Amino acid sequence: MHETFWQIAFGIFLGGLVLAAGHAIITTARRRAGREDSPTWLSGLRWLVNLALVAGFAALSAFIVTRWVESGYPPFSNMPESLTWMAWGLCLVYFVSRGFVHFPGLEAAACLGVAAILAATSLFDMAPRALMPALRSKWLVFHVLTCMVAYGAFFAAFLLALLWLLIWRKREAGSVVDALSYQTMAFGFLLLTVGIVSGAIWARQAWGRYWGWDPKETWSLITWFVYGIYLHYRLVKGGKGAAAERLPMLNSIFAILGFGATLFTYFGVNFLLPSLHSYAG
Amino acid sequence: MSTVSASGEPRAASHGASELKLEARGSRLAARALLARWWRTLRSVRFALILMAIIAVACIIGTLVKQEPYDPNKTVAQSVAQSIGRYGRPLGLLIELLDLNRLYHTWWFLALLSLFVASTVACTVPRLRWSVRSIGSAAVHLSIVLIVAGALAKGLAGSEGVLTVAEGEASDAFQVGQEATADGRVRVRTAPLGFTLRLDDFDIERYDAAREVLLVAPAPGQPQREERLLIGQPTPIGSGGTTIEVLRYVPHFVYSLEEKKVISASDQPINPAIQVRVKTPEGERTRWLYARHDLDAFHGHGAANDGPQLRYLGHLPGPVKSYTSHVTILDAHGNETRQAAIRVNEPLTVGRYTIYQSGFDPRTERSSTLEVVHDPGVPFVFAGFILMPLGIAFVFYIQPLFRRKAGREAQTCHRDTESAEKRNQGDGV
Repeated sequence: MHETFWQIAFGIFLGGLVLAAGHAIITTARRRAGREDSPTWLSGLRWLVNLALVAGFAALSAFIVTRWVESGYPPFSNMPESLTWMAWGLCLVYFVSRGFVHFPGLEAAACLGVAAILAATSLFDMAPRALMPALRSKWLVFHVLTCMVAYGAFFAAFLLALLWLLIWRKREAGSVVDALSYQTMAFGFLLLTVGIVSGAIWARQAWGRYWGWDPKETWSLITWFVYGIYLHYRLVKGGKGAAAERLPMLNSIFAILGFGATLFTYFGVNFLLPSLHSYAG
Repeated sequence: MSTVSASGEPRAASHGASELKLEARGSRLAARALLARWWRTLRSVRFALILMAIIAVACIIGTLVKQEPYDPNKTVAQSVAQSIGRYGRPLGLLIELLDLNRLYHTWWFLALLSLFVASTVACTVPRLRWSVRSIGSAAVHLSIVLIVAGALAKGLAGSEGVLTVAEGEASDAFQVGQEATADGRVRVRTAPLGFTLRLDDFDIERYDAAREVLLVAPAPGQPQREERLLIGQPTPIGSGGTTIEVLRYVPHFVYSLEEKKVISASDQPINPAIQVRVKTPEGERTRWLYARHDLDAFHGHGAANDGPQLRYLGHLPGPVKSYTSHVTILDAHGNETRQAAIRVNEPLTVGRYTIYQSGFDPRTERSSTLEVVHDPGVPFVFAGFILMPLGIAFVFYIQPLFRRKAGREAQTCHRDTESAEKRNQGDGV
């Protein structure tokens, strides 16, 4: 059952990506031609894309629930399961952002992000695996959920930074893209903090220490520092004088740098470095 | 510099003294200027951010160079030789010189962390005001100080070690480390627990996914393959429509004459056997296979020389689900004070020590490894853990609400916003 929901979700997000890309291209072309209005069919297309995102999110949630029931353990323990949560977190970030801002390409970025994560999921063995003793804890759900939604937010910030660099840099909507990317990073930073802290409390309960410089722990700290440096800079120095003009570029650089650190924390440590967290692969 | 007069030795002396005083004052001023400059550096946000970047780079190096635990058996020369062998001469020497393979415990990394805490404090305290603007960041920075203070308390007053105890045995001390003695031997260092821990029982719970390992050839003379079969799941063998299914596993195969059936005489793998059903297009047969006795080979021609050739290699238990040490704690007089179960994720606290289930001897499955930790810093660290996310949430989600409100008030009251801006700039880097 859960495999079917996964396929449905993947299909919907792929379809949504095609529609959203079409919508973004048409809107941009019309704006270039000086036509700012949005005829009914174009609004309808955007409505359809959002419907696809909602339906895809529902299918993804249904996948998580059915897998939880069918495998008999919370689906938070291996790479494909955690990737699904990252996609789920990215959707969540999209829906929240959508409540505040909009610019052409936002839906396309969300669909692209989720479809890319789900495609990555299919590279791994999806068969449910029994939980090892250390993972049998009430902290599993909370720790993985906060970390993966944080990763989803960092991915969103990364996609927005790319959008800004490639398309919106010289345009009016650029400041909106920049502000959203910053807010997304701040949200991810808060969740990453909660994720690291909950992991430390769990480590104290399972292994007798809250911090052991395990590569996964160390890389999560490195990621935390990268975003921490940027957020401090923006909070303390942002918005004033020449620094304010450089800020969007700096935002993009740190969104990319930070997501690189996130990817290494997530994949690099599992596959390249020996770690206590290596069961997550 | 000094003037000499015919009469005036005392004068010269007094002059010299005032000069000395001046010099001392000058050097004191210079020292104060230097201190002031250090203080300015320490309280600048730029310095804190650079420190964060340096610490992050050090951490990256620490994950790329394999970290070695302290080993008293190893001499410095051996350690250097190992690093050179692994990383090449220049890199190996650099690693040994800076102790990059013990990076997180080196004096220079700890100094970096200390400097970071000092910088955090120096950035916070002078900017501290009783305003919404400074609560959030002060909370986050205080949480960092609390966490580091807790870690320091553990390092100074805490202890940790390992306690390995077999079923039925007891121990009143745990192993805290190893040390090299004067005559070059290695001695295990122990510390008293202050109570006695007895392991009454140790048990392992496994998932129901045991597999039976068989060597299978679809027909005599064909290549053999290893198959791992779950009980009750028919598995196709070869392309001729043959399937095999394991019906039953017994660890200690005995044929009971009284009951006239196969029983397991114990749960020890003394004579492991499986009952398999082989289905071929011609029909089906059920038979027993024994890991310790290859009856097919014994008979020379095989029990079934037409069908698949089977050889039972052994029983692969399911993955471990949980393991439990059932322990009794005895006080100094040998009185039993409490009984408890210690599992992974379910430690036991006795007095100052918390005891964690960390492993077992996989050969006997009768010996438990426990981690014993005394960490007086935990309350500080956990207070920091609670404060930090709250502070960050405050900075990003509560503070803007006040700013917006303040902005609205300023607009309606037509206040001079320039002074506010100036005040904001004063908080800058």
